[in-house]
Amino acid sequence: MYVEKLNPKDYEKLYYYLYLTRYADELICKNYKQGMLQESHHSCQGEEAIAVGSGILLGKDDYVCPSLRARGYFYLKGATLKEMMAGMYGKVTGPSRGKNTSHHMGDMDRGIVCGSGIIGGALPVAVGVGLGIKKRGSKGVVLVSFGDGSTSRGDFHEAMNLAAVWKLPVLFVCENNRMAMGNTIEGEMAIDRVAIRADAYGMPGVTANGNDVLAVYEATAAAIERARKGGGPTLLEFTTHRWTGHGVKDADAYRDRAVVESYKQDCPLDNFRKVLLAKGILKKRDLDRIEKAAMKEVDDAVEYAVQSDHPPVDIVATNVYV
Amino acid sequence: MTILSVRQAIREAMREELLRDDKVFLIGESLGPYGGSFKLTEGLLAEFGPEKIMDTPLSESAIVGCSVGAAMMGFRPIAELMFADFVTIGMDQLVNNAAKMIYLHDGALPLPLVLRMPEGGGATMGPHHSQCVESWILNIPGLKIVLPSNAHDAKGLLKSAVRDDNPVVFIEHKLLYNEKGEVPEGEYTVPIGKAKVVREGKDISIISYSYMVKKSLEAADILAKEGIDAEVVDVRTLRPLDVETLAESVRKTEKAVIVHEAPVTGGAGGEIAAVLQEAAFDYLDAPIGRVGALETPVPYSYTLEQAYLPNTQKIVDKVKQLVTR
Ligand SMILES: Cc1ncc(C[n+]2csc(CCOP(=O)(O)OP(=O)(O)O)c2C)c(N)n1
Repeated sequence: MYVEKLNPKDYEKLYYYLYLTRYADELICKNYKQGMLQESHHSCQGEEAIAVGSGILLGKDDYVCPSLRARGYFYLKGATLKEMMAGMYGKVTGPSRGKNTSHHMGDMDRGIVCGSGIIGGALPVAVGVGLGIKKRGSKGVVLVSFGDGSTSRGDFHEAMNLAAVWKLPVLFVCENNRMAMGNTIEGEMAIDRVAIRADAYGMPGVTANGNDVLAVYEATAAAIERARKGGGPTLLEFTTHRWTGHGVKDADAYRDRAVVESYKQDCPLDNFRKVLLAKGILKKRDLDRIEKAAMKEVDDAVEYAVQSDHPPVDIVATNVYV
Repeated sequence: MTILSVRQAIREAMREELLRDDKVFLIGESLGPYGGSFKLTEGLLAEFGPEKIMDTPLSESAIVGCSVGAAMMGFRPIAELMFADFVTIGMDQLVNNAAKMIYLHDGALPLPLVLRMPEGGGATMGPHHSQCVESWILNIPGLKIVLPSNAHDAKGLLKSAVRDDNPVVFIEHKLLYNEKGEVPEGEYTVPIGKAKVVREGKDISIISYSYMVKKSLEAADILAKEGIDAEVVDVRTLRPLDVETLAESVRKTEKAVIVHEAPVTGGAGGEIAAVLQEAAFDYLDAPIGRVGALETPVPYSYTLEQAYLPNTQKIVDKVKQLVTR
């Protein structure tokens, strides 16, 4: 069990980033509705444990390419809350000075692989990063995250196959919230678990509870160890729920409110808090302290974003080529 | 006459065609309960049911390819891509199957399919949800390409597209969806392949299509105050191109500027300029001008995106440069 090796500092860090991701998302949604943000936003509320529980395992030599919803990876991989928030506000202090959105930000130095608004489009690129890791002889891995709906794209299948054939150190992490915009998983695929798609490509497929941050940690740690040892890719499926509309503008009128509300009983933050308190790993006052610190980081970031300037127009046509 | 938004006009066209012809059906992502990413299909599931309003998995290649196959079986699919940018994924099916199928059957097989998609920037949606794609598709014989600029044309052209036995790429502009305009109450169509003079003038022809027609008309208003009488021509169909209507306008004004939102290089404006100099060379009194976006990906942030996009002022400036040279 990898989880057994976690120390209290690790638990603090997990809780810190869970809370920070949630609080940042709540603020983003609120401020978006007040017309303050420019970037389209897809809330990760209720799904935070996946990015946090797996992202915390990534080291300096590892790479991540987060899905549209998986904000936690950025924070854990060294993107600052300030630059991410500035990006949401369309400011010059955001990623690539406002040319790129924050949720697709790329910075190879920090191991953040530029995403694509074309769902599935980032997966073959992640495989190429895996190839690069292997060619360099590094022990790193690349983690690419995506939703269940994305597994209907040809790019998903081509990427999975190539990564398996070449035994590349790629973690395919599916955030299965059983929705793809207005479509449900039944309309997306004729199987009940995304992970069984792995069989077709000859790699392990694992399903775990995505609302249990420790279960996410455990499954990811095993897949990472396998990849670092040259064992090749793994498809990890983490089950979860979408609490909000698809995007912040979506009123979510096509879903049964009672069902959506019931998802909130399975809150990844509450689930983790219960474990921490029951096992005496952290006390209530520790949680309060951590929450305060996370809120401060987010509030400072919003302030920074608001105060930052808009991009100067004379940069618009720069750096199309190097 | 009744006042409809472009969104309502397109929805009405689909609805009327679904009612008129049992072979027509809709296929795309989140069209049903969700109502489409821009709410074009809202309410249609309740009226026509899931056999006619077909939600697919997130699979653009399959959407286009499946529409080709269904059209080969005598059905008339209206396929939707959520954003025109995603046509890259359906491109193989569009270029290598849809566009060639009639020719490969030497005309024995009709291929009645419509591929609808919203393009364009101006909504800070970032580089993968804001592009103009018409010139990517323009170099493909076998496809028709339609780009309406207003509610009347959107409805009439879409109805023609559905009834056409050839594959039609129907490109909408997301900033037009809320634009309102007059639409006849009863049945009407607008023919594919016909441009339209939307404002008469004698000093210069501003030739445009889609959302940029609105900007061109605004520019013409500003120019009028400065004593320049601009004619505005709405191309409406890029393939087949109505060379005669465009050339006739240029023979009258002796000057032309072509305005589209896509970047200038490799844009449809180059093609239009080429056919105009063939058709009206002796009448031209100035080089043909072009206005389009900058030569960059579409930047996300508002100030950068606005700098990137063509706009009313850029059209005015270009016209003045050509008229006063
Ligand atoms: C190729 C492509 N098709 C469609 C879309 C529009 N779109 C954005 S997210 C989304 C649903 C994605 O579902 P899933 O992968 O399950 O992720 P989730 O939103 O549930 O997190 C769709 C259809 C897109 N961005 N790219």
